[in-house]
Amino acid sequence: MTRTVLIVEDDEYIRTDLGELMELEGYRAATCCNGLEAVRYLSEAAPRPDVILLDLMMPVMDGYAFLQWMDTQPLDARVPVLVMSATGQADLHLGERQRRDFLRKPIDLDVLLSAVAKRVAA
Amino acid sequence: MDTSQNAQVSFFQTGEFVTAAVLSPAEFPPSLARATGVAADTMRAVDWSRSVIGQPDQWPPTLVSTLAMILHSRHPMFLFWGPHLISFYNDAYLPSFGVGKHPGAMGQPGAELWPEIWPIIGPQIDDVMLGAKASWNVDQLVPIFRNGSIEEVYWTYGYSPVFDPGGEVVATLVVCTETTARVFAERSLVEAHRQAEQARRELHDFLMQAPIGICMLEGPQHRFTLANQTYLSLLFGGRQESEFLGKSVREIVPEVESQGFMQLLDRVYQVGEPFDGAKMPIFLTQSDGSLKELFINFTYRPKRDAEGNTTGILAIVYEVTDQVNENKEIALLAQNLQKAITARDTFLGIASHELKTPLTSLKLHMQMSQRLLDAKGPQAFSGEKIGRLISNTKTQADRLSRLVDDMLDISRISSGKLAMDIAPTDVSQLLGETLERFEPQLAAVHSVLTTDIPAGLVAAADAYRIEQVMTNLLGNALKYAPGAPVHVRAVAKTDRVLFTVRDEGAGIAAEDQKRIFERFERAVPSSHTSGLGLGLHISRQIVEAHHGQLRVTSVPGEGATFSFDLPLAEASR
Repeated sequence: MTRTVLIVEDDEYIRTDLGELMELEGYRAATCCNGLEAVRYLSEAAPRPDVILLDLMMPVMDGYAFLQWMDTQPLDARVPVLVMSATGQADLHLGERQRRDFLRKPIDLDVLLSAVAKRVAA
Repeated sequence: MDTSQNAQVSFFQTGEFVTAAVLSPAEFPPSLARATGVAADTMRAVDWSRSVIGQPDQWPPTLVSTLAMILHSRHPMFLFWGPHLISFYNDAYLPSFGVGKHPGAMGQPGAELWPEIWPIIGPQIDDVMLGAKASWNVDQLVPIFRNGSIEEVYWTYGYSPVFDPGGEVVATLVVCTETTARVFAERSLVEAHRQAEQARRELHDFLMQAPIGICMLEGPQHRFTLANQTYLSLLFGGRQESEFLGKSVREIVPEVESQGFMQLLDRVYQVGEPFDGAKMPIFLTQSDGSLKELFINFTYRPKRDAEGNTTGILAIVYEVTDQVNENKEIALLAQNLQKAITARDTFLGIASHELKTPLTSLKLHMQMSQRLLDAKGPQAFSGEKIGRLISNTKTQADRLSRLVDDMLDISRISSGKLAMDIAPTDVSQLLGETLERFEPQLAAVHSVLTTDIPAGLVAAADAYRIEQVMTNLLGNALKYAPGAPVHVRAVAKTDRVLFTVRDEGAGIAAEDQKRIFERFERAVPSSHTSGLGLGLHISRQIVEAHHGQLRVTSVPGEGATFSFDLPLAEASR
């Protein structure tokens, strides 16, 4: 069964690259430009993603707001999230409940792929 | 009359009386026999037979009646009788002798009895005896020998002639009072007054010269009785003490009434409890008529009389304006520093995000290419794919370059080193070229551009920097109002050229119109858009370095208009 990765990233170049990469690795890739598009995607579109690659600083609705929205969802509706940020992890105020897997930009490809594989398998 | 000769002839030799020739009391004239007291007894015990005046029963009536009056009087009296000035005195006189002269003095010639003061009293007695001239001396110093030494003794005394019935002066009556005690008391009182006055003057001088402000207020109206130099110079810029003395606080500094100080003074006066004030602001009228704000520490102490009633207030004042201002400055510095730190942290957060976004893209590209090369070899890279790779790499490098330029500019602005290379520049052409470069971006967001730019406008400008400003304004229009029309104009007015870039986007709220020119600020929250938030700040600095102004006008919902002006070069006017 093909796994789906949802990429939420405002930078057009990174978004496209990540999409291409995921498809090269045999995943199905879906992309959104900001948190709000991701919320719409999760609410309406199928299939449900197996993992979300989330940027934090985005226009319209940022990654923090998206995570807060995610925490209001029923447990079985929550999707594992990999946070990608240029900021150090210690500087992120994600809260106890919102502890997430974290990838520091610039992203190392091997680290990213193994984190995605681990999440998808879980 | 030679009294000194007789003074040598003494009937009294060893202190013992020869009693055989002493008359019995009954043999004395009755007025003398009846007299009582130590002096009377002494007089009656004398052997007058050996005296030049003979036995009492032979004494002339004038002597008897005068002596009787003396012996019966309670007032100190002394009599010098006859040419030999034989001494008589009464009990009241005895204390004046001290120890030593009495009882031998009774009947002794005056000059013999009083050798130590004879130079003083001798001439006065002569005046009486020879010229019937009375004298009167008040608090006269007549030092006498008594109690074993010469004592400083003061007298108020009168010398009066005693006449016989024939009108001849026969004796000198001395009516006297020793005033030594009173003279001494008066003298010590005068000395005490002098000392008190000196102490008062020293205290006054000390208060007047004290390096803290001091004033003394008297009575319920708080009338000034003292205002020292420090007080006057510190609080009133050197008004004169004479203006204050005797005047009430209300009369002389009415401005403090509305500042609560009158109530404090009234309270201290009425309740009698001190009041201390710290770092209190006060506005006071200065000697030049101006009103000055000071910060003072002060103390009001009630001044009390002997019964403990409050009679006035002692006020001690010192100025702490400098301290208060220093504290204010420190607080302001701390606040500015905090702002700067917050701005720096915000900047570092934004900068690291902005720098890492193109880096992330570049790195992803390289890693993916590497992966593809490893898996499929060079044939995996079509010409089209290589073109895309190069184009993307160039885009990301440009982004990085712009960010670094912005950061360098802001660093130059912060350190005041944003130098302009101003020269006559064809700004019509410059604007045209800039707009041309924007064509792909305009097309990408489907925005329509309208222009109104007269040809040949030459301004005194740094071409590179002004292009930067134009690029920033156009970029903002596309970033914040994508898809909406953009209008660019240039208008020459006398010696200046005005550029406007108008969009038809959401506009900028009035409260944000000032803020967007600050560092790291933007009209919308930072998470909603990319960039360092430095563009407008840098642009404004550039325009101001050209002695122009960069402004924004906007009606929310109807778009925003950014405009800036530059001086036209001489040739273009």
